[in-house]
Amino acid sequence: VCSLPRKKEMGKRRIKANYQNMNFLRKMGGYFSQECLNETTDFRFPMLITKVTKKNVTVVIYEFLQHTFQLFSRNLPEGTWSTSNIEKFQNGIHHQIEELETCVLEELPKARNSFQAWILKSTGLGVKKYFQRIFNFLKDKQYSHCSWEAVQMELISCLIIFDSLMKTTHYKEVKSFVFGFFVRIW
Amino acid sequence: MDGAGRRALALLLPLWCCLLAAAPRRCAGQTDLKSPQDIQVYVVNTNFTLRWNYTGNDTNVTFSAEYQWFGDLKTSETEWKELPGCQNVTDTECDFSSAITEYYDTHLVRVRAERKEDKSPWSSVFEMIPYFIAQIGPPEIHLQSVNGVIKIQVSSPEANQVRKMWISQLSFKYNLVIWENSSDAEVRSQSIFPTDTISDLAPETTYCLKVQATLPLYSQEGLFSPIRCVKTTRKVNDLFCPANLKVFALNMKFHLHWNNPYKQHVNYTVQYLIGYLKKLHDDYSEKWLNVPRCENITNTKCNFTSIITTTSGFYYLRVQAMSQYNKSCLSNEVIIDPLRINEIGPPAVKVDVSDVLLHVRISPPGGSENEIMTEHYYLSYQIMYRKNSSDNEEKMKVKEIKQTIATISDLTPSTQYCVKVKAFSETYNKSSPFSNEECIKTPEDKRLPLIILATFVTALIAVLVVAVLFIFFLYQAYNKIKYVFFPSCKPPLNIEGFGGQLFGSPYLPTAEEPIESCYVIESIIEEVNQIDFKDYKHSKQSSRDSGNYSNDDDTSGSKGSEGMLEKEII
Repeated sequence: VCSLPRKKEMGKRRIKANYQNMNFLRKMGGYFSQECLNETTDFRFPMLITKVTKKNVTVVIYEFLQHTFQLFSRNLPEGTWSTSNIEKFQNGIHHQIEELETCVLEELPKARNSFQAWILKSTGLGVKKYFQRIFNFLKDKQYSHCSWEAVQMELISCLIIFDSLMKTTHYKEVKSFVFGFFVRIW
Repeated sequence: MDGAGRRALALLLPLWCCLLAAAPRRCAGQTDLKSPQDIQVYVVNTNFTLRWNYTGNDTNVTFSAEYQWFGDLKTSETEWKELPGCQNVTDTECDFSSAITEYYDTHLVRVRAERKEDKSPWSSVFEMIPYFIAQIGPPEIHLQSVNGVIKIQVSSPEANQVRKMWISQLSFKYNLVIWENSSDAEVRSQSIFPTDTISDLAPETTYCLKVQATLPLYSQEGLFSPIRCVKTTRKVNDLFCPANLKVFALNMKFHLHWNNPYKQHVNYTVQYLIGYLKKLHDDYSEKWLNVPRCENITNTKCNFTSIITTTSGFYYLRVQAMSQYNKSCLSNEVIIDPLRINEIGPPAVKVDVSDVLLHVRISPPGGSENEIMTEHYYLSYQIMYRKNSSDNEEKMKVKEIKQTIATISDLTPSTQYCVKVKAFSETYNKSSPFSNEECIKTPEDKRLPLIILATFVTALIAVLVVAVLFIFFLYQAYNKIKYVFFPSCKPPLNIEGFGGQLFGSPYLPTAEEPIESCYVIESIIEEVNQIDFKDYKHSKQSSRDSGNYSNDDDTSGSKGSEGMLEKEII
């Protein structure tokens, strides 16, 4: 499934899947009301991820998706959020995780017991700390509607950054993150 | 030394001994307590255990540990703090789980031995990031033996804990190891979901099993749960259970077929489950939904295209059969990955010809209005064409394109060409069968006759132009020659006014003039015709109707013209 000649095509599939998930995530949310503006906080996205090399992008995205899947699996604001879109989003994320897993397991043994493995683990730690902050934020706000809206916004930006990241490593182009910042403002 | 010195020393020696005895033992580095060796930290979930070796004399020795935590903010104060749970312990291990809260940060630990007031030097420092050295603890399992299968429910390792080392509980993959409880039994290992069913088991047999949680990313394997043994029950074979579930998918239209070996009066209901629900630890048995238009049906097929709402996502299908005695039976489940299981149908092709170009228009599989196939599969097309001549079957030529319109050039005229197209997706390594072959004949070459005609016309025009020019030049030459060798009787221009009218009018019959005047004119003419021109002058004066000539003016002019006239008559 993850053989090297297919890598370019795999990349295309992943970018497409990521884009679809982004759309479901956008559609999932409710109405971001004025009062929620006060509830936002800086989650300090680990920008180090964007400096990750081409080989390690897969691993980083895989970890990220695992945590996202975990995040949206419980305590969601049902009633205000579209259940069918939540299901589609989760299903899409799960599918992408399974697809990435085969590639990740192929790439990792090459980096075992080496400096590269350590770098990977450190980047992974950055992702975990980031999600820990998100979890804590939600718990503190008792999973309120506004807190979920803030988290949803944050994750949309992340998926956009990943879209850029995958395309950068895929097509060797430098794309700006302006769009990502624009979405944050929105 | 002399005797006096020795005596002084001997006296002072007991004094030294007493001083030494009285003085505290903490002189610089002067203890006999060894520091602990081989300091190690073992972590299982969020349980931290510090272990070390002590090789020295361990009577009445206690141990105390200190730690440092490096948080995000690198503060200058890196002071050693007492490690709670590891103060004054007598064992060579202690539990300090309560002290550690940040599992992704660097921690340092060191321990030393103590006896009353004596303290050993600190051991070597153990540096760790808890997450990297943590082991996954054993999961809890719940078994149920029913109908010849074992239903298993696995709880994640830190299911009920508030503080978790493994925050992404859903990332775990559970590995089951099962064997028959007999000697020389084969050990089987398989991956299971948190809620799963173990089938393929012999009935009325005792099996033993254990489960571990794993994180595939860094091949982290957790500790196994305690071994549990259970006996399978007798298998009640429901004869009317649907079997041989097969999925047929073409151009994103999905059909499920099954069969029932014992054709009785059975009603079928096809149910589906959204794939990711199996990954959750919640009970998903209530989450199976009926496929619309496949409820309580009697035929053994179902069109379930309507439930495939995301192409990127798994679905499970099963068939429930209900017999006339209200007994139900569930078939096995089948997993569906829409884009992988779907087959691409052949495209449709239309050909058009103009001159020596063949225009191929392709309709994507699933119809031209159906964009799904192109959108998801990133379809490309392969066109194969050949010359359909009766004598030799030429080799097929191939052209690969990404659009739905193509033009084939370099064709010979007046031949029949046959074209067929297939669609393929490099992304999913799938291709469709070939479309129908469409044949068309290229028209005759109209170019050659046209060329000939054009050439002929151009030559004709050229020849005409050359001929016209030649004739023109000939004419000019003829004129010149004629002028040189055969001059015309044209009077010179300077006597033209004088002689022109004289010559012009006498040749015309002037019937209107009176006879008398004619007479006069005739005489003048006669005289003119003679060489004598002097009389001519006189006659001119005598006549009155030639009053249009004035004598005074004509004298000088007429002389000249007389001369010319003379010449001409001659």
